[in-house]
Amino acid sequence: MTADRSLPAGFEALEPHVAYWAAASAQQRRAAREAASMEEIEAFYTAMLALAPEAIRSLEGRDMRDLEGAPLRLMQLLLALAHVSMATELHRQPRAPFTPYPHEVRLVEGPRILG
Amino acid sequence: MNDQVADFRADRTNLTALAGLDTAPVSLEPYRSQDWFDAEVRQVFKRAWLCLGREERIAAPGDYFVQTLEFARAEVLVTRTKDGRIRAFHNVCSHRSNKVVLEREGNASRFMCRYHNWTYRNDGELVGVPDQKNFFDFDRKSCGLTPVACDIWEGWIFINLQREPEVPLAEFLGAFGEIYRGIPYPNADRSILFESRLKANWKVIADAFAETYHIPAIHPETIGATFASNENPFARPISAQTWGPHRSVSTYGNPEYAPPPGSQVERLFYSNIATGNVLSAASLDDTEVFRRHPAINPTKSASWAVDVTWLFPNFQIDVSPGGFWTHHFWPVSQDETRWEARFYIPDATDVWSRLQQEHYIARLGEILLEDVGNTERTQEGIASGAKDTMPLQDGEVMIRHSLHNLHKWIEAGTVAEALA
Ligand code: FES
Ligand SMILES: [Fe+2]
Repeated sequence: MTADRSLPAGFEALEPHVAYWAAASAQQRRAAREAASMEEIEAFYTAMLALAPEAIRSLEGRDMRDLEGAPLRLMQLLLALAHVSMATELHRQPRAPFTPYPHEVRLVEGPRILG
Repeated sequence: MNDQVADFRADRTNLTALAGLDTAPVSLEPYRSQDWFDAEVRQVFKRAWLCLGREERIAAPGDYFVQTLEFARAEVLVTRTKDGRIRAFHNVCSHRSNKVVLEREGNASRFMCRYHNWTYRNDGELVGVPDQKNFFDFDRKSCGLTPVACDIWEGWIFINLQREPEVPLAEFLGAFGEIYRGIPYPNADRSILFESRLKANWKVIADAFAETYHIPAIHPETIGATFASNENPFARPISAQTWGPHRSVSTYGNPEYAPPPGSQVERLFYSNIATGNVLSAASLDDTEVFRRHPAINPTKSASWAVDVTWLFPNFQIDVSPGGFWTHHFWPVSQDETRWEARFYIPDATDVWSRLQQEHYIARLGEILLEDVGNTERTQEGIASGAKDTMPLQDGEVMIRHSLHNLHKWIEAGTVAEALA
């Protein structure tokens, strides 16, 4: 693996999404989704969902506590998929209808692993 | 105890009458009056036992956390000492009243005040005073941290701001404390926390989590299909119970729920397990204990979703087949609240369970925002004075019971009288 490739081989198509969506904490992933437009959300959702089964398979058997580098970024993209699916699969708009934005409801303590 | 079962299929339920409550519209003054708020602080929050969460949060000797109580303008330092006991103190130095502990949590056997370096052991004793000789008739033993009354019930930490609590914790909990013994709290040592400060009276927030009537309207996409169905279109509760000032409702879950075909991510993330349980944080063993426990899902309904148990005045424990979570509603001022929602979840160490957990957390964020996103608007409506009262329907029985008991405590000269 070369240093200038940020995802494992086979996932090059997702490179354009790393900078915005591969965020370290659950609150950051949530905030990224809330700040994105529906076009941005849909672009990432479509690209990520297509490769998600393969991405999950590539991470099977790995201990989530030990991920780093390219596999870690791939996992962060998968985790971000959970958040964008709220917009695409539940609300069909970027945020829940009739909820305030910006707002102060924050996940101030995330899970210990990849949180 | 008042034990009530509702047939949600009947024309109407009768939980309110069975709880011994009247059915008239209730006054909105408690939600907007400064006098009422002052009375609540004095008569309720400074006399009742208040839950601060699980003891597993400070599992090891030396572990501590600091809890801010804005309504009392106080901070409580809760510690676990060498002998395993849990103690609580005002976070105030005995010298010139500076705050002693500045961190929110951690592990320390001693705390040093940053002003003049007075040092306290985590059992409250003052153990170090620089240049002690230059004080006058100094009695170090009597200069420890000021204790706050603290007791534990089933692993829950409670404090009481009365210097000598009028009633012990067991008496405050009453029959509830007996019936709710022996419930497992899976993953009690690890949790995630959502928090927000909201410009609304604390009861507006608490009420938002105390009824399921709002679910089809506010949560149509996130959990509407989980909590209502053709059989129970308005998400009526299954049963309600009251014990003194405490109360619980058992809520309906749609046993048929499965992720709809369009929910491709949810279906993918859950595709490696047999059940499609959307709120799963507990093991099957714990789920079995929940299901068998007489206090949980008391009617043993096959359509059980969550028991919402509201301990007087400001604390709710929610138990579902998949685990438990809590809400704290901390009054800051008459129209401001700090709300904490803590969900106890396991460590997810493999890719599948971690993705399921993230999906759970993402959905929680949406549900909670739907719940509290409404509350500031509600407070503005209340404050406008347009309405004197609000009508409450039978499914909103816990709100009525809450107001009834707040009235009682405000009027009662003693806690025993308030509990009578
Ligand atoms: S105020 Fe704490 S040492 Fe002086
Ligand atoms: Fe809700």
